Amino acid sequence: MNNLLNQLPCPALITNASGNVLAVNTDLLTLIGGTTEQWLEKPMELFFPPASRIFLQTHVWPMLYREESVHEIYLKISNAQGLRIPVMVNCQKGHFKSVDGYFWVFFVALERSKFESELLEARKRAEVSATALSERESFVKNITDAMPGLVSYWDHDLRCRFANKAYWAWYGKQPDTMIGHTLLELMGEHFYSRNEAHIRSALAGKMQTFEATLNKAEGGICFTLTNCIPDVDAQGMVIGCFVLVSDVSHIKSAERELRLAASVFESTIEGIMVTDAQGIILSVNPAFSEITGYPAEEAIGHTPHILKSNRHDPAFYAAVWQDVASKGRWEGETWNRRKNGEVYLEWQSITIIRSSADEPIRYVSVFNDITEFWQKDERMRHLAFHDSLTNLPNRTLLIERLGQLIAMTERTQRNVTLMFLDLDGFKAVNDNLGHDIGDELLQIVAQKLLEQVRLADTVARLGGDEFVILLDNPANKEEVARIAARIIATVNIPMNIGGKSASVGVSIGIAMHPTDGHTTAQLIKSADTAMYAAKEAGKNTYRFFNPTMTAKIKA
Amino acid sequence: MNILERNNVHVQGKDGAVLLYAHGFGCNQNMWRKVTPAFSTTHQQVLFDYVGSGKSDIASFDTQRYSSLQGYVQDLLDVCDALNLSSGVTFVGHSVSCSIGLLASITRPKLFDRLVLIGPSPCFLNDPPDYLGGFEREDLEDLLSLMDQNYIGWANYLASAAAGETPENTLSAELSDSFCSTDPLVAKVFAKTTFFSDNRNELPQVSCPSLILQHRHDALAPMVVGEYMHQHLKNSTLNVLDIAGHCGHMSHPALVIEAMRAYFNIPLHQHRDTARI
Repeated sequence: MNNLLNQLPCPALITNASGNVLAVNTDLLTLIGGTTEQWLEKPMELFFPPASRIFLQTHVWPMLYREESVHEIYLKISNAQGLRIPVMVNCQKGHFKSVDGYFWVFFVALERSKFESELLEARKRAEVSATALSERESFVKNITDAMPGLVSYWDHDLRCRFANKAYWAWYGKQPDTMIGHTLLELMGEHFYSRNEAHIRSALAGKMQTFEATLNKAEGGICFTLTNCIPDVDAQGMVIGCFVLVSDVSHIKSAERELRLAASVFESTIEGIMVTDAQGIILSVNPAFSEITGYPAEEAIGHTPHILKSNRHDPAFYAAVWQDVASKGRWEGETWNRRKNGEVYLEWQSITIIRSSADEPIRYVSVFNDITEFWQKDERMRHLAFHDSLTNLPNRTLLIERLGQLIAMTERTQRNVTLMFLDLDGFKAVNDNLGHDIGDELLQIVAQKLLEQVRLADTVARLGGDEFVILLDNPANKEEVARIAARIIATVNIPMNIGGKSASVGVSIGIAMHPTDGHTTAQLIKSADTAMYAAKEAGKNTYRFFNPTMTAKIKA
Repeated sequence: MNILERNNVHVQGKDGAVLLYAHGFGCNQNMWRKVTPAFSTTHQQVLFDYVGSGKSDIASFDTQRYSSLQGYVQDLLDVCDALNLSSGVTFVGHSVSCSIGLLASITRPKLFDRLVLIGPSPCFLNDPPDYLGGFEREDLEDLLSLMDQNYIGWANYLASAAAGETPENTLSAELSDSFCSTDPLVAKVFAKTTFFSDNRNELPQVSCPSLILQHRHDALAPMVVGEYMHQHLKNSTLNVLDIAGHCGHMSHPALVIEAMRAYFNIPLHQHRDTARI
């Protein structure tokens, strides 16, 4: 039998049903080493590496017992050098020396296994790409499911072929019940018909982007931005479309608010200036330019110093910024300077805008030009306290100042003297030369009176041709008499008014505090009494008050 | 899907105690064909294929489920439930099915009267110094690669089926009964589950009496492994068959039948005394 085995051009052996060696040929011995004697009765497994042993026991023997032969099984043999040699194994059950024998033939299969390993590689690649495909599918699904937008695919009959999680959640469906639904079923007649034109256009091959309102399963509608992208096959036929729907309700309302804010910014009559935390101007509105004279491009990039008027000291600005820092806001009047150099008053509010980290990132200044209001206000104030013809203080202001001076005498030694003046012959000027000349004469007299006193003194007109002069702290009675005499002299100088000469005299009554009165009323009354005494004494003269005058006048 | 169809269940005989046969990795219920005739008059015998093996319903295969021996345990229990078997069953398992039967007996302590374990191993991997299962991880990786090489036949089989050859065709019929008819991916899952499982910790939880049929020269489940099982299984009997290989029930069915009969003849309560035959 060994001879027969040795005639085979490849390794071969015979075993019993347990795999113990009954005979072995030379080719096999050459491969695995050892002698026939050494191998007899030994398990053939000894020349197989562990993996091949397992395969023999789990696959080859069960098949041999069942089928009595195996063909072309790929195994490895450990050769004499310990290398693992791939072999193709064939085995056939037969009889050997009157017992069951298994006839094994091995083909050293380097060539063949090369081909098969290529085949195997190809299959592995196919496995890998199948795995990759399924991973890619689940990757795409995971991505689309993570998206807040609605992602779907519709075939040419507008039946759903794919819908991401947001999509089926939107319509309150389960993932499996979405597939196969038509768009019409899902959207309902009303919403479908409103969007149908876009959908038809997409199916005609035109990409569509449009805003639409959509119904939600939980009720209510949403503003959406929808993209319909046609899916075109290799022949150019539209076979379906991808639909991407984004809920833009929030964006919509934000946009509305933004647009409103922008239009307010653009159209408000209040100047608005926005700076960064370092005070660099970032934006200004048209009203800013109108008020300050600086066009936006000349303001942006600069600091608000370009507007500085120098009417406020550094302490003022320090207080402003202290308020902004502590209260987040400041409001008040500020004098600023326009581009043309003109100083103006503004009512300004400065607000701080903080980042989410609570750091100041912007300052917003909103202001009105209140210069005109201020001027009007000043004029009103002036009118209330002055005589409109001569611009001299009126009775009210006179009484206020007199009161102030009397109050001051209580703290410091101070002479306060009141002169009551009444023009002589003014009625004749008025009657003969006209009221206009008369008015002009009063203005000239007012000027003459001002020239005769110091700035600290007050010249007031009580009305008609009556004037009062309040002398603040004259040196003494003689000084007062000199002033009175000077006044009479200067008033007496004839005046040329509109080519006509006009002359008047003046009678002056003088009352001194506190001898002639403690209160404003008493002093005015005493001066008035003294003035009448001067009139009685022949006019165009002055008289100091004395108490006997009162009785005379009354009499 | 009906379990009886899914697991290709066959019941032989009507009377007698139930013998439930479970095949090992790489095989199917046909491996029992030299044993079953011996018990045809005394027992009712149940044979089945695990999902993914033999003529089971391949569509029911689930990689996740069968990546753990518990998936195969569930197949076994499903078959018992489908047949209304809840007690008095004698389990006969080969190789990895021994572990499956042991795990099932832990889940359903009443189901089995006794277990016949042919070539069992609780763990094929070496875990030195205390345990030598016989293999290194690398060996088992090589096995998977060998399977890849040999399951190429499966592709050929598919090709011939696609060419319209009838199942009656000799070659196709032959292939359909061999491992080559198995989906290589499915076989690899079973291989990994079989060879990378370690059930040593579960052995002490088994109380059901068992007969360990150990092959004297077995590359897959060597003597030391059989002895380890015997030491850790309560109420176990170790019977060493004087044969080489891993499939005594196929190569030397008479020896296996004899050992089974001898075991069945011992009254159940006597199994409680650990014995070595």
